[in-house]
Amino acid sequence: MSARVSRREFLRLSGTAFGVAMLAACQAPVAPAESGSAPPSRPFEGQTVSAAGMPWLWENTKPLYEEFLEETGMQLNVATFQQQEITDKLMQAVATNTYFADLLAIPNNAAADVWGNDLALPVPEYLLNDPEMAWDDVLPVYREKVLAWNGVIYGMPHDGDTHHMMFLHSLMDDADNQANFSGEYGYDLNADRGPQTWQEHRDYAEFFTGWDWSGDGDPNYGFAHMMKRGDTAFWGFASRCTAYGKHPDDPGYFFDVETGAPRINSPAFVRGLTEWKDELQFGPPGMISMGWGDVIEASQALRVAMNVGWDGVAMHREGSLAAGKSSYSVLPGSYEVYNAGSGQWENRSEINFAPSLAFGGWEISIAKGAENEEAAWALAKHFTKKEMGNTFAFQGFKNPIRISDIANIEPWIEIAGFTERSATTYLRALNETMTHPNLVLNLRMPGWTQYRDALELGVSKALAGEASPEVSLNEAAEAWTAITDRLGGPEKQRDNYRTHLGLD
Amino acid sequence: MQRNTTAKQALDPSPKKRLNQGVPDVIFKWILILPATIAVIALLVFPFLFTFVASFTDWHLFNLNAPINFVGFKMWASVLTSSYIHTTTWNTIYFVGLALPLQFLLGLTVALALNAATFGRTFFRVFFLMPLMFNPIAVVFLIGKLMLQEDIGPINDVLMGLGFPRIMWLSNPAMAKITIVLVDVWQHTAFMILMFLAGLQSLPQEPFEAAVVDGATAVQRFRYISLPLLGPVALTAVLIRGLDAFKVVDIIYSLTGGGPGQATESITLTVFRMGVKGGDIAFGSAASYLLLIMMAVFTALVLFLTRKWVRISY
Repeated sequence: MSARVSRREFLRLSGTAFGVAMLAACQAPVAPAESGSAPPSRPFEGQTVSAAGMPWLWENTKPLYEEFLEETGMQLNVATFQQQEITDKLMQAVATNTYFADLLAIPNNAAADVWGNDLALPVPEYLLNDPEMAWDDVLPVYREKVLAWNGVIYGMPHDGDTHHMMFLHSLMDDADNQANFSGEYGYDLNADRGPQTWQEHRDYAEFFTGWDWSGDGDPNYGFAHMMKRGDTAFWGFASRCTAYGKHPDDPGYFFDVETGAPRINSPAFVRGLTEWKDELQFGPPGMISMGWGDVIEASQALRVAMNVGWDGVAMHREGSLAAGKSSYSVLPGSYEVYNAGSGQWENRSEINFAPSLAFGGWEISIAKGAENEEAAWALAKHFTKKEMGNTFAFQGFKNPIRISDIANIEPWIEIAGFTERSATTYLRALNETMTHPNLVLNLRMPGWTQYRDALELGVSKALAGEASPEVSLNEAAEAWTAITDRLGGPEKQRDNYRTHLGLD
Repeated sequence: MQRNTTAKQALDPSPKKRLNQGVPDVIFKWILILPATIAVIALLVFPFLFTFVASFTDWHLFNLNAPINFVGFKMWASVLTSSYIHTTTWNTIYFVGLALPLQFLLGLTVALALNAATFGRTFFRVFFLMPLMFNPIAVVFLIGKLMLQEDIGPINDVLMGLGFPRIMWLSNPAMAKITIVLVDVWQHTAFMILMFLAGLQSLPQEPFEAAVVDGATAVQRFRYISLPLLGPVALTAVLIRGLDAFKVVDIIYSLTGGGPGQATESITLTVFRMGVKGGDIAFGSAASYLLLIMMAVFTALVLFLTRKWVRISY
């Protein structure tokens, strides 16, 4: 017979060890001053809002909020953490019910843990109806799914992340390259959209590998993808397999929505990993040790012709040799897609595109038990209202999440430094990704860090040659099943996955 | 009226009141050590016992609102039968088994050279100790990210210029294991140098003078005098560095993330991944006790193997 102690009781008993400070009773959100009454000149005088987030969110953007702090009298106490660290700190705070900060900038993956466990406050009604917030301008996939959990909006519309493909159109435009490629592969380079399927991507990568197309005296490579374990391999691999594993008629991708069983060892993922491993020969030496930062550097230095990633702005930063030469497209697709329901591959007449909302963005939330709740919401509004949101996006401090962010190319040319062609293709890629009916959402599941680690381990083992793709993904799937069991079983996690997808 | 005074009181020109006036000595001494005792219990004993108890539960931080069950040795069995743990345990033993002897030999060699140096000794002492002052993350960035970059890094550039093949420092599983060792050797050999240099400079001169009179060669003086006399220092250095090496995590985490595959993942990194990042407190606790047992075995082994040698040196 097992002795049972509730988690909360256990935590309380061990409070001294973890420094647990239980949250104060939830306070009703305080509505702003009613219309007609004169607002105080400095409404948050003497109030301090504590905020936690990545350094870039606070340090580089100071000019965009200093005036707001001055006008409102609000004091801001910022605790900055690096990307890996903030997730750890946040999750520990969540698990121990410990106060972390009033305003949280959380990774989208943690939404199930934070929002799903009711540890953040829903966005209050007055902000949902605030014209300055212009919620109708927020892309529907974010407003209805990514920023919400179980139908309730918890996240303010700050950052929208997608994976798209970057390719150097300057190479595709070149007449010699065109002729040589057509002669070798029997079809033309697509200078407008780049490779449209992963098979074409392989051809492009092979063609641009091993010779000096950049003119720097060294041979260059076809592509670079994020593959480093413990860095961004989870998202790199997930995006590599969507065209094979995301069937248009099946909402599930990572898990089966009926059984909760993992699908990461399905023939679709095995095929994606097998091809990825085979294509290592078309990337820079040591590509399996490259994280997203390394991919950006290789792309900016014109060492690679293509990449898959988040950021078009980085290609146009000062010093980037790729500025003005890069175009963008949705992730390559496939004429074959795996149907997990029938267990068969399907040949399709149209390309199956399945863009990836990888990472999903940094979401601004207000913690339950925030000490200065109204002030925290005011700051969150300042960061995310339409006018300021556009400014953040065009200056490169976040990725677009609003229709207005991607509707007009002028700011991207004038402020972010894109050329017209680069801006046009970039915004087209973002729009096509975020509005695609077969879009794969970023994984939001309780315990996602363990799922991520287990999948990255399997992928890395296969890429390093320690096991075959099939064996390593079977191991990863076994690990996912074990994690699911430790976190409440397949039914519970299936329900969470369905909630994540907005099915229930 | 005559007073009885102790010799100490008689010698003290301004006797002060005793702090424990009215409190028996046996109680007063416990009062004095109470703060330290509380600190030790809170910071050492409690976490030690807490982790031990947690290792017999199924406690997972992220499985909120679910009860915690005591599951006996289930987690211990999971740890001991896990191929994941087997690999990380082997990686840790490989790392310690390669890094520690290398650091010992290099440290002793450099210390002997510095001890015998007559020119620039101060400069070279500081020079060789500098790696110890670097933050491990900075070391990883300097060596791992810049120097050992496989495509355009300067070391591969030089090697290939000399006709050698490109070395996949971080992407080849076997090579990545060695790279981690090399980075650690670069940084921590300085500790061995420091210890051996201090030991060499505190050795008595008489045995060496007598040996010179008796016609002993430099090698013989090292073999039969320096080395035995350095025994206690060597033992201390090996124990401190060895125990530290068993817990290696910072270099690995920032250089390879434990990869490629699982090639460089140490057991401490596993405990961090499972227990801290993943929230699996029960599994992480059991795995951390496995590390503790490994370190205890290592300590016992070192003490046993060196007992005779070190005793002779006294």
